[in-house]
Amino acid sequence: MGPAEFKADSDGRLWGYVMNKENLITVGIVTSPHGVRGNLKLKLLTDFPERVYRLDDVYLLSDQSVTGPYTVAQARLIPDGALLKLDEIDSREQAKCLVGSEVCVTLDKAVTLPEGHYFYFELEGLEVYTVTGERLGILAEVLPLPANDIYVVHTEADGEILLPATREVVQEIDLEAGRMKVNLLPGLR
Amino acid sequence: MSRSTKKGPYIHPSLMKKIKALNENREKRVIKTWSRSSTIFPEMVGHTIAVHDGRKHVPIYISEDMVGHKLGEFAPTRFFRGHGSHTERSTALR
Repeated sequence: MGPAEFKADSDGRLWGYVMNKENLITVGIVTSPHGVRGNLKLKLLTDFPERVYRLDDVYLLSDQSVTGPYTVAQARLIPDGALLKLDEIDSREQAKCLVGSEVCVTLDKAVTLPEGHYFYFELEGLEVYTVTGERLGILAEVLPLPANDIYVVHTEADGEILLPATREVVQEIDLEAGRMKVNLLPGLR
Repeated sequence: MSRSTKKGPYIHPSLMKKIKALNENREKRVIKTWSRSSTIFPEMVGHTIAVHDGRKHVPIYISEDMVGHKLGEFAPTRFFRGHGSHTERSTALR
């Protein structure tokens, strides 16, 4: 996995079109400026809110362009997200310009997941096969529901199939091969 | 006003009939239902019930801690699709 491709400006700050956006993972999105010193209010897009305390370098992604790395001076959790202070952003005006930007880290700095846990983007795009070897289609989306997550599989024959993310149904996930093996219970199709 | 305790919790009769049939035959099959207001009974634990959300049937695996709730609580009728890019949201099998 190579680094994201950025251009460096005269100050050494990297920016430009992200040729390889897959190297970044979004932690949150800037919703508003906070205060007068350039603090950013974030809506978190992570299952691990405490990870904001471990942020050091972040990239800001907006409309396919990326700036960074920015150094995180201070970060703290608030009831509906987090507050972030970046060294390079000093005023409310600068912070206001960043509303809507995604706060990203490089993939190597992503949270390490426990065994048996997967990021959504790791599963999306997997080829789904039944235990009998029949190809069902491609896993298009993961829906988080209160009881169990749902894997949405787009098939050519049957349209959309919803699979519950249970051990009974999902028998095997092979990320390297890009395959998922499922036991299609009667009634699921 | 709450439902009279004399009546007991509500469940659609045909749904209960299907669950009992599955338990008697020790069969595993997904049951489709439109009855979002049916209460989850202990007999349903371990089964997967596809609950209609107004558009499609959402397969819900019934576990012990869901007993006493209504089926509709686990199949939201509105859903925020969220974000297109890679995020730190994760999933695990139940």
